[in-house]
Amino acid sequence: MPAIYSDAWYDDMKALINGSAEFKKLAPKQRAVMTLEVVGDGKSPYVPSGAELYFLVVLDGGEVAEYRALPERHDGKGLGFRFTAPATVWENIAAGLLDPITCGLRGQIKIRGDMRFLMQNADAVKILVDLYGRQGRTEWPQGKPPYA
Amino acid sequence: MGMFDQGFDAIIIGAGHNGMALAAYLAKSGWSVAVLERRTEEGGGLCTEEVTEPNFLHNLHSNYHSLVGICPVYDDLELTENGVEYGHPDVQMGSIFDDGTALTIHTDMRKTAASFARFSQKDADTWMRLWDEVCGYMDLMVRTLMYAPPIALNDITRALASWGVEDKSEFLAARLRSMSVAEFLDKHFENDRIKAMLAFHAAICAYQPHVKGLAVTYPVLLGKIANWHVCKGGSHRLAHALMRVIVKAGGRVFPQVPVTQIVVEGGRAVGVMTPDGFVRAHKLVASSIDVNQTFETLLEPQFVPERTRREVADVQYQDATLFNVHVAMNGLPRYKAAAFDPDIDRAWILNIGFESLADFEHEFAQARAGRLPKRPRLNAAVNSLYDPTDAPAGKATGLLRVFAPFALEDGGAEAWGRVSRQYGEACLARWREVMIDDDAQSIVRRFSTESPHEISQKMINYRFGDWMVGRIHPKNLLEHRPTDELAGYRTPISGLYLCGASQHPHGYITFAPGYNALGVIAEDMGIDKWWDRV
Repeated sequence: MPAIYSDAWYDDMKALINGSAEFKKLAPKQRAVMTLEVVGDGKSPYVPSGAELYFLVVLDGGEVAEYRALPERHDGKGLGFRFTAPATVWENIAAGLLDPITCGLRGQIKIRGDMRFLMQNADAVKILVDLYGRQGRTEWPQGKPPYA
Repeated sequence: MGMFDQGFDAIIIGAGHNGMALAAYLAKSGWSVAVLERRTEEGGGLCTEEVTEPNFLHNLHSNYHSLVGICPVYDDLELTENGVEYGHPDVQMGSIFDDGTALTIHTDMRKTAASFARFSQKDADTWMRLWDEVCGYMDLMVRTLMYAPPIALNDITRALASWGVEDKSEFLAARLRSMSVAEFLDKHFENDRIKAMLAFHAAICAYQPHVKGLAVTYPVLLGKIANWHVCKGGSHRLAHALMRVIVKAGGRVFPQVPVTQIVVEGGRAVGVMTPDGFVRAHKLVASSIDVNQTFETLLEPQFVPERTRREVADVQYQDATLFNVHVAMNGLPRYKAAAFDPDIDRAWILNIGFESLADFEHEFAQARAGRLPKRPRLNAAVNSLYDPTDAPAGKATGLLRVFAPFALEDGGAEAWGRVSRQYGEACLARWREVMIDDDAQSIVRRFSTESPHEISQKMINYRFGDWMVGRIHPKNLLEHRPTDELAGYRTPISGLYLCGASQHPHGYITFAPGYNALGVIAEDMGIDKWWDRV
């Protein structure tokens, strides 16, 4: 199992999504660029308090074309979506402990971008977030959520 | 050389806030832009005048600005740096009831809950859960439902169902699309007065509480209940700020230059006619005035396709509009109900008379029938509470509004001329009923009335006195506003765009129609969206 936030973890996530026949069937064909921002909140052992991690997800032609870490915050140009949340929230989702849709509704994940695209591709989005949360293939070398 | 000889990249018809915002963005994008305005000044509904006495500043139309800090235009155009200053009343709204009790809505929602709890602890608890939930998705929903071209209601409800939102949210559900605001309130709240207070908030946003289907956007509306702002120095200050931004960016605003015709050549809008002659638009014409004027008055019939003509002719306007009373006052009013809740004296927007959901149903039914109630139910605001600059020292400026018919049962719209003053007196009498006796006797210095008919004569965009420039009804919202064909800000005539309050989402000082038209224009014209950094 790949360790969270490792290159292998990003690759594994990409393979997992692209291996989903259901996602392939429902995924939008147009290009969509999004970034996830993981904000250290003093509880996660993986992202120091005040530090931030960024990763990029590019959908194109009905599959994930890129899923990788970014060295710095995306400047927003050409970006479709920016999802920002405390590290603990992302990690609880990855561990299957939190529902990402609920987190979006409650404002735990800040979503910037044209929500219409997400709504018009709601079924594909559902599969995407389910895969993120329930893949169960993440290794947690410094401990698994929930954190004390 | 005349000022119009070179033409402009873009000509915007109408200097309301939507047209001016679009002009400002385009000018800042390097375009040459002209805004042509029929009236003697810019601003449209952002109209502040001394209609009672000198130095009493009355906002004739736009008074409540609810999207400050939410709408991206304020930051994009640096409107604060260009002279706009807002007050954010800590006691936002209130209701005064006939038995001397009162409810107050505060920016501090714990105080709101405490006020509600005096009527129903259960409702106070429900309110806090609703507020917490709405705050979670407010920003996201506002951007989706307002600051983006319209999404189909079916797409929204399908997404809510697909994501199982009904199981994750207490208040958001796909079935809201078939419910009225009143039904939503009946479902979740038990106390009539709390329901009336929350329905009042909807009603002053032109959401009639008993119209089926409006509950679908009501949670978003509730998210703005503590975001009412008063524009210091009068709402017209916002128009001045927009003007400054346009001028600094090299654009021009021309008051008293009415457009008499949109000129079409080869199926494309190429300019406009004015009393001074033809003005060429090199890239586009954008109309911020209502669709009826745009398609029925400014375009020659042969350029308007049959479907467009038919659908525009069917556009519906509000069946209840507003009657205004502007009041110069000797000081801030004090209310008898302050004995029950002292904060009521500082509540900016007051409901006086709506005590239950049934009262709204009755009031709007009366308006639809062209009748005036003998005892008016008021929406009262004293801006001086939070902007002392709008009146001489120690004095105050007040505004009373009443939901009213455009055409009276007896005599039609023009009959308002006979009854306006008398109805203004009735409104003042109703206000005096709730004041302490000393104030009731002496507080009013002078007043001036504005009937729906007068409003529609002055602001010709407000057809039938409709300040939302189109009915707030599921058949005229989202992908249906103003018509199915014209909902996307483009028109069948190449180079002609729509950017006014007829468009999604609606009227009010939202900037959203202008902002959304800008996005569409940017896509069509290849403009770098410098304002759109996710």
